Order: sequence, then structure tokens, then C-alpha cells
Amino acid sequence: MTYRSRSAGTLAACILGGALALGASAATTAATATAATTTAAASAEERSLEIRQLRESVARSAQALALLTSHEQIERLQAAYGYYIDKGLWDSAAALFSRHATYEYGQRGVYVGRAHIRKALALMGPEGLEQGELNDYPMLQPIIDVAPDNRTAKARWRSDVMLAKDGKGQWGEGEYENEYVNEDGIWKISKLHFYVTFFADYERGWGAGDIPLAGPSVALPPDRPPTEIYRSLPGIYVPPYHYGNPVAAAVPSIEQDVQGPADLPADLVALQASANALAHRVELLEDRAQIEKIQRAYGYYVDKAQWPDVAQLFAADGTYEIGGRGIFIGPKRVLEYLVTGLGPIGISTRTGQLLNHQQFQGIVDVAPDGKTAQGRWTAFIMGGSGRTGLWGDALYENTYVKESGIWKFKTVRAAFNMYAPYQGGWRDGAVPNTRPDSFLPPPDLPPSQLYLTYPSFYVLPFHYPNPVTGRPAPPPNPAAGGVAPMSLYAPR
Amino acid sequence: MAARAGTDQYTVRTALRCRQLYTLVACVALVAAMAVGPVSAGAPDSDARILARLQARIAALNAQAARIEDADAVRKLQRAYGYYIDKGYWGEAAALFADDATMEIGVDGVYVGQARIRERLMLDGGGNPGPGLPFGQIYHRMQLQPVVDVAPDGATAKGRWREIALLGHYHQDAEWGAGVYENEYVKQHGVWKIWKLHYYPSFLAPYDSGWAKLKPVTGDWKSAAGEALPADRPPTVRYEPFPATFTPPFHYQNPVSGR
Repeated sequence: MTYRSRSAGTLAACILGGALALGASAATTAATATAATTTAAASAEERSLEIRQLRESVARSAQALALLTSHEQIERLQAAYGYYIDKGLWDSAAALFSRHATYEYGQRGVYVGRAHIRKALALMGPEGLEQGELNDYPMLQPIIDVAPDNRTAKARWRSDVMLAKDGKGQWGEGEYENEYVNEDGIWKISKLHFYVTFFADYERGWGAGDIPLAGPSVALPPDRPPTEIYRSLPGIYVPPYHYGNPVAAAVPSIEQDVQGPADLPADLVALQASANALAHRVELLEDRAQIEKIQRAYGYYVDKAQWPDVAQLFAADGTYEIGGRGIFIGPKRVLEYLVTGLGPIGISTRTGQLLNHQQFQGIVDVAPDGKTAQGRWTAFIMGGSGRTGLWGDALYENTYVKESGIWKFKTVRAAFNMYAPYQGGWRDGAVPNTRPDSFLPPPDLPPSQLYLTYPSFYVLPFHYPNPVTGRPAPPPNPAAGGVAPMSLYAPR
Repeated sequence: MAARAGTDQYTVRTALRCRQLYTLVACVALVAAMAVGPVSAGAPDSDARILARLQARIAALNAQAARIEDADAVRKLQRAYGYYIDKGYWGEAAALFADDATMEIGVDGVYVGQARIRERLMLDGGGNPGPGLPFGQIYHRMQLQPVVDVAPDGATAKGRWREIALLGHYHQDAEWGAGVYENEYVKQHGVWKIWKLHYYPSFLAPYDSGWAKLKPVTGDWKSAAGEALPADRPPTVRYEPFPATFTPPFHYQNPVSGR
């Protein structure tokens, strides 16, 4: 009833309330003081309690949906920003910032306010760019967290930067840790901070062709010096995460179905069913978002060899199988494998190691009961250390499980597709990565499938049927694929 | 207990308003009702409007949830398209298109219908019928950075995407590809399908020299596949790829300024 008095709160409500009370009074007077009256009063109270619970349930769904909608809008906002930056559309990009926003790029310092940001963006080139200039900043691997009050948000993104100017090309990569503000229902960028991992001359690649970070511009001095001092590759820096480990620090979600008494009247039964259906529907959307977060956080942790954080993403019986190296069971064994097989915890500052394990193109399908899920992901890899760079390309087909309200990795399985040295790329080189006999420690179980990487062909089975026909994809035609003699793996 | 407290609160507040609004009769009745016993706040006739309002709110929230689900379905569709063509599943990829769908690639023109789309996809991927790729081929076309907007009626949607591609043949050639999609999607009998795919290639650059050394195109820069399999209709947009500057038109207004 509080809802009614709050929202209506009018003469009409009052008259209705009065009339109601009159009616109730008459009814009460008319009734004799018997057990029947007691039951009627009790069921009226039950009814009122039930309505209150239903209102609370719907309010929770509304709140969750508001945050999910904001999540969508922020993803769209940052993607739109990237598409403008690509083309040197500085006015359009600057319009995405709030009036007093800040903008920080690498070690160039902090620009404050939309007008100054507009000028700082133009340090990248003339409006609209000139012939031969490439300024591609793809916006990738988002982890978006909207504050419960739906007024602010934070997000981590990454960009694989492709540049060209005066006939010279560059590769770059870095992470964003951004903030957003909801102004009258419109999300704007309130803080953009791009942390550069590396920029490298195209022809020599990272390792050999690293380009040191530029400092503050003399022509357009920033309002403030850089907030953090770091070097790009071969220097190592881990941009701070705005979020805790999405499994270890997760807040369990609780089943919130409204359960009315068995003898609920039909109108409330119907309403209870639709409120619960809505809550379930919204929860599935939240599940999908949370699973995407886990997978993307996994990528960011692998980037920086933060193996304990990776291991914490797994369920107690979760399994890990990458690159045909057998199956490791449970967080402890996962950690042992990562430390022994891939290197010590924390990325090496000594050699200028690069381990970018980028998680793209996720297809996440949550089971209708909301207890398990499956996901297919592309891992686009920039690796190497010292003077050598490496490209890699892998597919993940994972399963996830919700345990006590927290989503975790159940099975992580990656099939490497291609690894190739930077010099000559995948034309000249192919590094085999499916050698179950070539590593320590021994796995708990052998690989679930033996396969060959590029230049051979292998496709991890799709967890989903064709989204339109609903039919599973057929196995590949053996006549189409090839089998690689191992001798072909030697770089030319 | 909670329910009772709520009822009392309601009664007091209502009574206050009543005084302000001089509806004394109703107030007196209300007090009388209180004296008799708990107000039967849940009497069926009284809360009909509350229930109706709650039902309406649930319907509105379901519509809000549906918009996100639709956007998710469209994103899945485009990502699934990428995963199929990556591995030479031309038939599966073509099946993602509506019967009357079109596919437009660069300045090659517009291909109409699933059969023609399948043919073109296969040719782009090297001509092997698949499913699967021949030994030595890499054909990885990543589908990235979606901006998906579902129409208010939930029947169609538009999406901007970025592709970055690793292409080539072992010991023969390697290339980087990049470009932007502006696609339209349609929901038919509850299933989202690709309706109008429009890919604007930005560049296809040999691995060794990269994109920075690319020369401007001259004249008609149709792709080899476009030459081999002429399109059904001429291109709707003529442009030059990198190193020229060209911005594929946006299907959306600026998300903040609205312009």
C-alpha cells in the first residue's frame, strides 16, 4: 500500500482509501466474530504481504535492467568513440565527453575539459586525417561496471592500434581505464585514460622496433602532469584494475523468486508468475554479462602473468586445457601448470616480455536454468620477449558454472590455431603448439583431442547450433582440410 | 508484522492528506475502520489498480529486457558469421542470411539471395567448397567493436562492426585485412537474420610492407572475387580505400550530442 500512497498520493487515493475503509468497515461489521473473520483478516494480510513482495521483486528487476541498459549504452559510447578517432573526427569524439572530463594518453599528461580535450585529440592529426594517415583505434575487450546508483561507471578496454603516416606504419597496444557519468539519462565519458603497452615500428615489430612514449606536448601543454609514470615496452606496467577478481571478489547473486502461500488467489498467482519470469529473464542477462567479464578478465590477467588471479577463476573441479597440453584439474593444478609451463608469476621486466592474450568475439549462451553456460572466444595473441615478437591466434570453447551464486570457469579449452614469428609472419613461419610430450608438469588427464595447428586445419566444435537454422554445423569435409607433416613446421 | 506496519503508515499518511483536502467524511470512516480492526488493505476490489499498474510495469520491463536480448542475438549472429567463414563454413554462414538478403562488398556491388551470397563467400575464401580450409590457409576475420541498435518495434536492427583479418597461405602469402561493416538485421518468426550486409574494406595489405606502403587505387578497384563473380547490382556507395580517407556512413547519431 505504501507504493500506492506514494505514487498516487492524491485526493483520488484518499477518497478511494476512505471508501475502501468504509467498505471494509461495513464488511467487518456485517460479519460475525467467528473463525471465518480471523481467516479473512489473515489472508488479507497475506495478500498485502504478497503484493509487497511482488513490488519489491519488480523493483529489483527494474534496477538490474537499468544497470544492464547503461552497460549497453556505455559499450556503445566507447565503440562510437573508437570509430570517430579512426577517422580523425575530433569534434564528434570530443562531444562524447562530459563538460569537465579528463583525458590522459600515455605519458602526455592530463587535459581537462571538453574544449581542451578537443585540442588534445587533434595532436593525432588534422580533422578528417590526410591521405596516407591511418589512425585505427579498435575498442576491444570491455569490462564495464556500472555503479549501483546508475550515475557513474568504470570500464577497462584495450586497443590494438594501427597507425600510418608518411609511409611508415606502426603497431601499438594499450589498455584504457575509463570513467563515465550519467547526465540526465545520457552517458558521457568523464575520464579517459589510455595506458600504452607498446608502440612499435611496423617493419621491425615489438621487441626490435619499440618506440618510447612521447612526453607532454610543448605546443599544447596539458593541464596536469601524467598521473602515473611508467615506460612502454620493454618497460612493464600493469594499469590498475577498477574491479576485483570477478570470481574471488564476486558478490553472490541470490535466488529471489517470490513464493506465495499455496492458496493464493488466481490474480496474484498470475502476477507472481510474471514477476518471477521477469526476474529470471533479467538474471540471465546479468549472467551473460558476468561470464563475459570473467573471460575478459582472464585475458587481462594472462597478459600480465597474474597466474594466481587466473587460477582463482576456476571452480574447485574446473579444468584447464590449452594448446593440446593435457587437462589440469582444480585451481591448484592450474596454477602449477601456469607457473611451471608458462613462467613465473608477474610479467618479466628483465626481458621486456609481451604476453597479450586478447579475448575477442565472445558468443556466450547461458542455459535456460541459469546454472551453466558455454562460450566461444577468439584469443588474438601478441607475444614474445627480448628481441622477438610472435603472433598467435586461438579459439576457446569454455563452459561456466554458477556455484552458490557465483559464476566460475568449469572447463577452459583452447585450441591454438596459428603461432608465427613476427618476422615473416604466418607466410614464413608456423610454430607448433600441440606437443603434449613437450612440457612440465604432467597433466591430470591426457588431451581430450589431438589436433594439428596451422598450416594444418582444425576447428573446435561449435557449442551452438546455427543461430538461424537451429541445426548443428557438420564436421569439416576431410577433403577440404589437410594434414601437416611435422617437417613443414620448421620456419623457412 | 511488516505488512501491518505498512498499513498503519498508509493510514496515517492518507489521513493527513485527507485533512488537507477537507475530505473529512472519508477520514472519519477511515478512523472508524481502524477502530474496528486491521484495515483490509488487500480487499480484492481495492488493489485491482495496484495489480494493474504492477502488471503494466512488468510488461514495460519485459520490453526493456527484450531490447537487450535482441541486441545480444544480433551480436551473436554477426560473431557466428565470423566464426563460420574463418573455417570455410560457407553454407552455414550463408544460412544466417534472410531469403531476400543482400551482401555488398566494397565497390564490387551487391549480391542478392543466399545462393549468390554463399558463392561469393566461398570465392572470397579461396574457392574451396569446404566446410573446412585446405592445408596451409589461414582465413581469420575477426568481428569486433559492435554498435548495435535495435529498432523500437524490435523487428529490425542495425549494426556497425570492425573487422581485422589475418589472411594468407603458408609459404606463399600473408596479408592484414581491415574494414568496417554497416549491416542491417531482420527478425523473422522470432529469429534474427542478416538482412543487408555491407562491408567496406579499408585495406588488404601484404604482411611484409604493411598498410603504410599501400598505393592509392586507380580506377575501378574491384576485387579478384568481384571480377570472377560479377555482382547482381552495382555498388550503392563508391569510395576509395586506404590510403584515401573515407568514412563509411554511420547508421547512428552521435550518442551524446544526437547530431
